[in-house]
Amino acid sequence: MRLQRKILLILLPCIIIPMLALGVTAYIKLSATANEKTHSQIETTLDNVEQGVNAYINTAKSNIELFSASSQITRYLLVDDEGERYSLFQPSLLTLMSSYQKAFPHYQEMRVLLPDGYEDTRSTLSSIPNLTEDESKNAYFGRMVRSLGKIHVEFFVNPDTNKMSLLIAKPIMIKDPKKDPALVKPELRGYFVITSTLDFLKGYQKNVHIGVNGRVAFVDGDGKKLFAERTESYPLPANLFATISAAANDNIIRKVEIEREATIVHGRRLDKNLIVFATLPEWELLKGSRIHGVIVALSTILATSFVAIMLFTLLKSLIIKPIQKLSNATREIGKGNLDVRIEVKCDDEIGDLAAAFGQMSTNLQSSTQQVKHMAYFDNLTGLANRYNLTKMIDREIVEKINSKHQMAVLFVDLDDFKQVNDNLGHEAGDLVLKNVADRFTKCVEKDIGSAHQDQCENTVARLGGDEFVILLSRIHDANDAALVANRLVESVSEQFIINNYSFHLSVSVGIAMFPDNGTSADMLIGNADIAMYHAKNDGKNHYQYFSESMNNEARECFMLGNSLRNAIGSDQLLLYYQPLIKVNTGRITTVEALVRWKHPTRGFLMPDEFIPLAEKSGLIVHLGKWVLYQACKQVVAWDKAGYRPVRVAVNISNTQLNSNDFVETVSDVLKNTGLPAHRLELEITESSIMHAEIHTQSTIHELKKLGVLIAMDDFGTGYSSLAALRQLPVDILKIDRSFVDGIAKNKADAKIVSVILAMARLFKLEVVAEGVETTEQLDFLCKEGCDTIQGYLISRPLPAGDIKELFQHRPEIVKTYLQSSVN
Amino acid sequence: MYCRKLTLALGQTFNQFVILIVLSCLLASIAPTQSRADNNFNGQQLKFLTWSDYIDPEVVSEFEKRFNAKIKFSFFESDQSRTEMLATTNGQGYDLILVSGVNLRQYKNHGWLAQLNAFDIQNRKHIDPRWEAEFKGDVGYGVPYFWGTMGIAYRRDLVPFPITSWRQLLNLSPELSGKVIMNKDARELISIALLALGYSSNSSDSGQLRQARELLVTQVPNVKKYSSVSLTEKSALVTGDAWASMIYNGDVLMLQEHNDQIVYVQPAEGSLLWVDYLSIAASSKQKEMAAAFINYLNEPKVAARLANYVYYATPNVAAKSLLSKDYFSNSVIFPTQEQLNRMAFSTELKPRARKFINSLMVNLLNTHQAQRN
Repeated sequence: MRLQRKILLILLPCIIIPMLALGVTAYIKLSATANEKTHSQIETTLDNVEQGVNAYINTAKSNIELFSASSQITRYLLVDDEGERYSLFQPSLLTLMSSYQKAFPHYQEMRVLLPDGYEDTRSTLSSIPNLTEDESKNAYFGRMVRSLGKIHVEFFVNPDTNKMSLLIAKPIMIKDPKKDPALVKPELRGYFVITSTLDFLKGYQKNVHIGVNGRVAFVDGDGKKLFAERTESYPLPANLFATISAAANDNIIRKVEIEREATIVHGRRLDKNLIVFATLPEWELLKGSRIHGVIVALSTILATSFVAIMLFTLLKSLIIKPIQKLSNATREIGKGNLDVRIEVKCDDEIGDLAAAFGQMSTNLQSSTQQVKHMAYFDNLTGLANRYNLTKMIDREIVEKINSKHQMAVLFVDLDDFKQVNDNLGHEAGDLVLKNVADRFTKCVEKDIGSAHQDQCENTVARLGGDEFVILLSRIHDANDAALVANRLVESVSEQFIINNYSFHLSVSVGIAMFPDNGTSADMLIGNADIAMYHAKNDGKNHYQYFSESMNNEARECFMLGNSLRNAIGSDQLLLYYQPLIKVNTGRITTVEALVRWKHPTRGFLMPDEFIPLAEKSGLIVHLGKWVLYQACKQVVAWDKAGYRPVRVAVNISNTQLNSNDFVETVSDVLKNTGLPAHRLELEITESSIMHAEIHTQSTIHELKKLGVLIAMDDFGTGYSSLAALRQLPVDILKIDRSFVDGIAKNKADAKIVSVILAMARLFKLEVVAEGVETTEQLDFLCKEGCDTIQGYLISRPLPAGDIKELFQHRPEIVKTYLQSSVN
Repeated sequence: MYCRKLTLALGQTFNQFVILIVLSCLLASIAPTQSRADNNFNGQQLKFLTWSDYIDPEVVSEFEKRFNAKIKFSFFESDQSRTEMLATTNGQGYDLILVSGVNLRQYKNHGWLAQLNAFDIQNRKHIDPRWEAEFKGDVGYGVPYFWGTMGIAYRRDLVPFPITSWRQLLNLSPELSGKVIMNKDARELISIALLALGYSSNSSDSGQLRQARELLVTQVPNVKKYSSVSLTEKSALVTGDAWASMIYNGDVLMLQEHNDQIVYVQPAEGSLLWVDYLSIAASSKQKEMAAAFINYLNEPKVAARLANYVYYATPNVAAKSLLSKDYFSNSVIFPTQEQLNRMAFSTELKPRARKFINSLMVNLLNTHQAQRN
């Protein structure tokens, strides 16, 4: 997951959860407030109605007080005579009442009632039929009388109009003016009564401030609705009236179903006979809440988005951007572009990181430069290394695809440089290599030909050890390369003086030409190497051009090497045995184990066809060990089969001998096979023994200590001095077949053989003549005292199964020869 | 305005009449002045509650000069309004009150009027005893001033039909909608309604009263206003704002001076008779002056002048000899006997009937106002 997403994932809950909490709280609070507001609107409305009604009643009371106190009314009531009262005073009283009613139009009736309930004066603004003039029968009159001098207020159903009305009455008490005011008490002369319509309440019904659909209505004590329209239920449903009455009594807002709609209801009792109530459909309350909910949700989302975007933007610019820059810089460095500028300027950890990163980048750049140098140049000599060289060659090849110019790759190897190392030490060896490098460099710096002095595009490279390669990238033909090769050979031939030792060295040079000898660096170098190898094999200290045959040979070697590796341990490798026969007995004393390779495609291969390859590839150690083991095992097998015991001879290569654990290997084989040590002959070539280093010599001595026999193979070819021969722990000399071959052909060879045999007798060494093929040779050897012979005259090498015959029956030639000599 | 009352249109007798008047005035101004030189009220004020346009202002100013008095007028527009004014003050605040015969007893009974016998009003002798006796029980509490009848005035050029009866006036007729002026007096209204229904104008029968009320209530849309008719040239009847009205006979004559299209009708159902009395307020402090003024007004010449001024019939017998033949032959002022037979003075109603018409008046006014609005 991207950092960006992770931060979002962390950030969003951090914002959303508090925002949600805030939103939910706000929603609850707002809803509660809206509810409260509505409730308070209801309460306030009812309060207003109550106060309004009270105010109205108070005004009516004040009016009635004022009216009752007027001289006109008192004078009127003091007139006992009905006729006078009506004709003289009533008109003006009526006028006064009328004017009052005009000021207070709700005062539907203004009346003067006499104490007995007779309706003396009645003023109505509109003509309202009067049911009776005797009010004493009406219930309100009784209540009025019982109010005992106080203003009586009641809501009652006016019999004249059959409508709920407000009755306000004041008893009018007057002292009789004809009597002494001090002695008389005021006596009741009548009642002044105002009957008011309740139309003023309609105003409260019209101007309702309870939400949108809030309603206010009035109901009388029996549950009949006031000012009811025809479509409305009249009277109210019983449950609604009960709820309203209950709410009016305990002042608690209730909920009730009105026409299948849940409704909030509240009531307030204004009088025994009058209740005002307010209703509000519950859905409106809920709608308010819903709107709040939506608003809160929207603002929560908005706020969340805003904060999230703000925070995200901030985080992006403060953290992610710098990290991305760092990341990009890292990627650049990964791509190899070390010259990266990191433009992150923060005072925080990221800034520190960026600074550290910059430092690292700088360091990396310098160390990369070092590595690059190391990668491209040889540490010791400062010359280009193999990698660098390969690159250069490839580059040159690309440039030369369409050019007439040729290019030469010279593979140079110091001859016998090992000896320098061994004799003078590695430090000296390094000094020599540096010296050589300098000389080579000077060689190629010299102009190759006057024609192209300016094109000194030659490179000296060291591949490792004592191997150098010179690349001549601007030459006209192979002769130019030969010119340089000669110079190289000459330059090395000059005397070296290292650590006060002076000596000479030589080089072998192989030349591969582009494009004839290869079209890639590897091919050119490889072919030059092959050519150099051939030069070295041809006697060193000169150069040799590469040729295609060399290449084939090398390829074959390579392929053989590969299949040889697989062949070891398989049934492809076979051991053949060639008998060695004691001349005087005619018996087989020894068999020489010779390896054969039954190659699946090439058929039978002789050792000289693959042993050098094994030597070169190091497989020889492995192969030799296998041969040793198989041979010993075979001899022991014969022993067990009851044949006369023979010795077995195994060829040991110089490489085997030089390997560290060779003595141990021989010891193990003997132990594992159970072959007694004195029945094992190890055949070592004369040159190997003669040139053996101190280490190898000690190996031979240790082998001798095991009890095995050491045979010097190919004796006579290695310039052995007799003195040296004496020093060596050799048990058997095997005269090289070239001498045996020459016995009959030239006297020198015969003489050498005679000398060798005489010398062997002198040093009490066994002598074996190899390659005996004719009876002449046999005669000569017998005559000269050679006790053991080996060769086709006796038997060619045979498979293990076939040679058993010879154990039982002497070879025919031996038989014949023995018979003739006896005869 | 008062002077112009002299320029009456009473046919060809005009010049003769004027000379007569002028002479009368001269005589009247010389003789009593001399005999009553000792009567000096020291510029004190006499508060006189009366109808407007009901006295010759020159007569008033002559009295003021002669007696060194000052007369201050208060006017009422109907009997009822006078009663209300008096009821409001309980009869106080006035010295001399013009009282309609129908109210005389009530006022007297309630103690608002003073007994005239205590004062020296010599000219009472000129009064036709018939008028003194008209309201028998109240003799001595008022001196008859004028008498008259009630009729209908209408604009013959505007009303599309001749009006001959109360019924026509009271019936709701679209042609008269809002064009009728009715007196603001419950007693008079109920009386003509009763007459229109064929009942006695003084009926106290509640059933008849109810019918009369119905008639009056149905008439409301026709009524322009409930008030007395203005007698000036700006009067609605003159200008044509109103087309018909119930009216006191003398007032018609005044209006006809402004517009000769105004016709007076004695309604077929009969009508009301009335007589106005001059009474001295019981609470008055200027009873002497009031008595002197009554006496002065009843001097035959003065009475004649007044009659000529107001065009009402004077009860002053002595004055009659001073008045022209035209005056007496004026059928508006003096109805025929046959007409008089169908006329009656308003009498006191039973209390409950009175109460009934009190309410009626209020109702009419309220209804009318409601309809006007």
